[in-house]
Amino acid sequence: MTQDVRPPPSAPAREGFLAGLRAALPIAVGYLPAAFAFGAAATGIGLTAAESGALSALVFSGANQVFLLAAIPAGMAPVMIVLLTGAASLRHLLYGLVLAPRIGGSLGQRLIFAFGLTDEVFATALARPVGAPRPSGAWLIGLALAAWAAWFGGTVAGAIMGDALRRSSTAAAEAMSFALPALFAALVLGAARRAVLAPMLLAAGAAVALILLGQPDLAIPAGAAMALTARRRPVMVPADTELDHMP
Amino acid sequence: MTTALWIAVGAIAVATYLTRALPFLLAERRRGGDRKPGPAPAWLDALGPCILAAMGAAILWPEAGKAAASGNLAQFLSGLAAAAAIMLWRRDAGLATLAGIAGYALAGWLT
Repeated sequence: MTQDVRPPPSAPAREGFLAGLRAALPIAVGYLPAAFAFGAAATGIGLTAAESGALSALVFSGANQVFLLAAIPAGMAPVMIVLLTGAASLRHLLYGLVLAPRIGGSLGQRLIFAFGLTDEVFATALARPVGAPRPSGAWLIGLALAAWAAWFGGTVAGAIMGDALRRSSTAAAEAMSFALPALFAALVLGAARRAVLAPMLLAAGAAVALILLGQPDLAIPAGAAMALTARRRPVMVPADTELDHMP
Repeated sequence: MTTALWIAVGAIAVATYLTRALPFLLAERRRGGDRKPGPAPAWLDALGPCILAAMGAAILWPEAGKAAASGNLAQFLSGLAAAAAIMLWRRDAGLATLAGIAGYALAGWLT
């Protein structure tokens, strides 16, 4: 009788899930200070720690949640709040469009992953080395879950402790505030390839121009539009070479 | 929070999720049983990196401006250099982020 020595199917799934958790580490490092600040600010406008945590758990969108912090005290009509946040969320359609052909996983896994598809999760899922296999469903769920947990946990902790931690060590708070710039600098470098370098430079330039013109909300859509300047088809690179990597 | 606000929060949560999930549903319907993606057009290949570049610029530019205004531009650039160096060396965004934080803190301590 032939013995089946194949590893159980759950093993690669578990490894993929754990790898996804590890890949989310820089996101978590970046999220914690912001989530802390959101939690502290939410209690500052009269929300309880439970309400602040529920907002982060349900919405999981920093931009929309920060908008809520301004809209709630201003007494904005709930219908208007929903319409404006919905418009701000439309950029996520682009993320799914870009990722769909580049990731693995079943439809169910993708729909679970979609709940955590924030800007930073998108960037991390996209910034895979050239030639690397498509991220698995388990990896994607681990990535999104860790990011969500960091955001939710940071919010609750921030709501409970307010800004006590930041006040206890100014130097530590200042250093942690650099996590998000460092993360994005690394992710942009990771995505840079010769074939897309010119459109990327145009995208960054367009974003800066819109910021200088006082239209920061249009910076990312304008940058995305620069993809239309790409002329060449992507160069197919064998999996064992890194010819298209920067530098 | 009032009941109306909770309903609004629920609607925001659903709308946000739909914008994230709909492309996957549409892609599933389009591809049917074929899991292999066809060759991407040039603009689609560049779309993700362009969004990343714009997001990076939208985050880094204001931060650089604030650092310059407060006289901390050298510290800011040191942190970026540390993150970039580790990213180019190890291709690991996690290590690069930690190195950037460490470089930023070290530069602040030295200056």
